[in-house]
Amino acid sequence: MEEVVRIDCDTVAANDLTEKYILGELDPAERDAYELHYFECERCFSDLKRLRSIQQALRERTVAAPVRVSPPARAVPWRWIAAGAAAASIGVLVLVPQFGMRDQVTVNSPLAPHPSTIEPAVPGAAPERADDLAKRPVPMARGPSAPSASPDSRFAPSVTQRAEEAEGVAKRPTADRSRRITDALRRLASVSPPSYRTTVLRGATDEATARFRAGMRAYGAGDYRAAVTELQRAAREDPERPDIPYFLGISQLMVGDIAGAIDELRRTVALGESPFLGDAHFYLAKAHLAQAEVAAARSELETAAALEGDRRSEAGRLLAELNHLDLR
Amino acid sequence: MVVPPDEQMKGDQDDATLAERILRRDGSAENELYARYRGRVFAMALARLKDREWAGELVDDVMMAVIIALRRGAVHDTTRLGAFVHGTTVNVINYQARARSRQPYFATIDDEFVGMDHAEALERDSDLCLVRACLRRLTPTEQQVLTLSLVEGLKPGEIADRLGTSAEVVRQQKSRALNKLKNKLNSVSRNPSVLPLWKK
Repeated sequence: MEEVVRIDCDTVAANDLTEKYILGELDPAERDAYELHYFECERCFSDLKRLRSIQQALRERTVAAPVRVSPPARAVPWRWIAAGAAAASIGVLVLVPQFGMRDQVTVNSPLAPHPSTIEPAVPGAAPERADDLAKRPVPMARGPSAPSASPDSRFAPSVTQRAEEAEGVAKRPTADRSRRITDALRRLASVSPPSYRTTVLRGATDEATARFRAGMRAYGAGDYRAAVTELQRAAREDPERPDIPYFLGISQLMVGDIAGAIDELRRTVALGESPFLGDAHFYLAKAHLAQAEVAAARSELETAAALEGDRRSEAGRLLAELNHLDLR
Repeated sequence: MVVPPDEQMKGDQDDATLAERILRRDGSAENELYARYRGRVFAMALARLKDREWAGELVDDVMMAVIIALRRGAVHDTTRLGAFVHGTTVNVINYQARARSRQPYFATIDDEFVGMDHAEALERDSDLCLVRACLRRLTPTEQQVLTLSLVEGLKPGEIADRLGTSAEVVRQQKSRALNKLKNKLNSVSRNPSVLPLWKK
């Protein structure tokens, strides 16, 4: 390897090398010299980390800006759903919040449910605060009640209805379009778990690492339930490592625990810059697609497409497909 | 030719001591070396490879190679460990890039492995959450100038054309915005004496 020129901090500052480096504007010799410098200079490395964080934060804001927001203070489109055979047999229709309503109502809406009361639309599930809800002047559903979700379905009832509402459109789709959109969203939501390449590094093993190893052994064997158990233990031991909630979220996606997956992937994102950040946004999009939360999925894909990572181009393709999906 | 700053002299002694401890198979010294350089290796790998996952995996490869070399006493100048780690990183990146270009990459899972948080040294100290909060305190124009500069990579003249102002005004706005961020971040930083050397 050729001798690399050594530079000092003044040279870095005078030539804006840090900014040019993160923008990829240095020629190979300048890049080598700058990299060698920050390997030996704590101050300049600290500057680099900080400027990278600023760039990252600006990039996130740039991507988040065009996200569509549901119209404020809309009436909650509660649907009268037969919540179970027992309820139907005695002629009672129970008001059940639709799965994934969080994306479609604002918190300030007088008709918006408290987030803690939102539950998956599981057949037979009793809604919380039904008495309170019954007292509210909730508008009737616009059409015939939608069938309740089958236990095996990845999508809650009336996928098309929620997709429409997310886009702020009033027209009802035809049955063929409904099926087509449902099939398309189901396809877009399909998940292939990321591979995990193991490495060996000698050193002290803490409890979190031991649990993580056990979890990833199960993950590699396709036993995602066992992976969830072990990775949850690892997370309790070390809540600051982003790899743990990331793979835990993926494992939960694979076992169908969408809500759990969303929580863990959001935790990964909240831990900040890491090798898993871009992919966490990507899999969050998948989780939202599984719940037909189109707006939220779009937002996550836009972020994933803007970040560096394995899934960047895939996120872009998925976003393009989602945008071309005729949800009107 | 550059005269290193005073703190660099102290760093040289630290490096030599660290290398000596690793030669004597001091495990804590190896952990210290790992903690000191993994963030740098990750930053460099990310800048060159543009692949976050690959960069994270590469950190272990580099640090293993460095530690093995130190254990064997094979490092010529132990007062400049940074340069040695940098050189090793270049070699590993080049080797893996060549290898991957020749064949598809298959992930393997071994019986024994360690999942390391390679970006911890990069993102933990960089206070990404704090940066996000501080950005909100900038004016919209300042945010726009920084975005056009650091995200879109536009030069001051190009930004000036977009905003209908002069390049000098853009430079001043950018400098003011970065100083605001610097001052706010420094005020809560763990090492307030370390002042960033951005554009003066």
